[in-house]
Amino acid sequence: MPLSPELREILACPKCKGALDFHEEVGEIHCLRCRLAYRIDDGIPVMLIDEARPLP
Amino acid sequence: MAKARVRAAFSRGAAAYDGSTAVQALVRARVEALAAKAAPRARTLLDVGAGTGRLLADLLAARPGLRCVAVDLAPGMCAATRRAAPASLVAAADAEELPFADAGFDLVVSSSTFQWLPRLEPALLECARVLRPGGRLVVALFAERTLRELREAWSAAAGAAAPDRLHRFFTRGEVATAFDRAGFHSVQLEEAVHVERHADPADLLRALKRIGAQGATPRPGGLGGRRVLLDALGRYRSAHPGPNGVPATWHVVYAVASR
Repeated sequence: MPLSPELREILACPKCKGALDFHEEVGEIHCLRCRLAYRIDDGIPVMLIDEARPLP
Repeated sequence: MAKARVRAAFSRGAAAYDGSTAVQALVRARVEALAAKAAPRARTLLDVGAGTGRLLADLLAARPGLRCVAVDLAPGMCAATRRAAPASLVAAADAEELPFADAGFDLVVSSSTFQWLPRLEPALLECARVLRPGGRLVVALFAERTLRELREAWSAAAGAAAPDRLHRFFTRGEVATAFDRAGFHSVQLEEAVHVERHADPADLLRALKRIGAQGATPRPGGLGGRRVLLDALGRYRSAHPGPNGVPATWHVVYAVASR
């Protein structure tokens, strides 16, 4: 299920509160500043810092 | 209570949550009334700890134009929220680390959630941050006297020197202080006490477990923990003789505040 444009518009990184890069094709939302990847589970963004994947 | 434990417990509880406690419905109705009064013209709303989404569904039914956003720590609850209120935008998030920019909401609500936090202030600061200036926060949380019968029975069974293995709920004073420290003004508090009846203490524990709130139940740990728990349940039962089962108190503090 794709994320709604409105949800994409309001979501921010929970750590730095900055803008995010959406990569729905791989089911992830990236914060390039914090180097974190948040996963999308069945259309629900999991914006939890302790569950985010560190980006290389 | 560790966040991972809260998350897992409430995901498991999502299916059972609604039918389990009548108190939840009373709290929800009061929060809805307080929110309607505090922010009748709000256009954007955030529900922190949306749970099964029932509050959000009620708020949306009353105000169809409201733009609703919901977060919950438990992904299982997020799925339930989306089913109950399909028009809302849902994300899994921590109340202490909200995934939104500053000042985006007219109204933030949170019902039956903040009592599980180790401290209130970080979450209240986050609520203040995402509220626009002049925005309103409406919170309901279970407070100090919640499950006092269970606490009394446990204390009697474990002895005064035993470690306190029960969840400690905030006092009204702690709630007031946390709102002040988070920078809210015009804080209005009110309290309500609801007494539920359960067939026996074990029935209460099962109900708590069913809704994922086993954080409120004693954690039998160490040598003799099981024996103390059984002793406590026996004392709970015998302290409340009679044909109508045992009482379980729920003490609710409601807060309405301005950013």
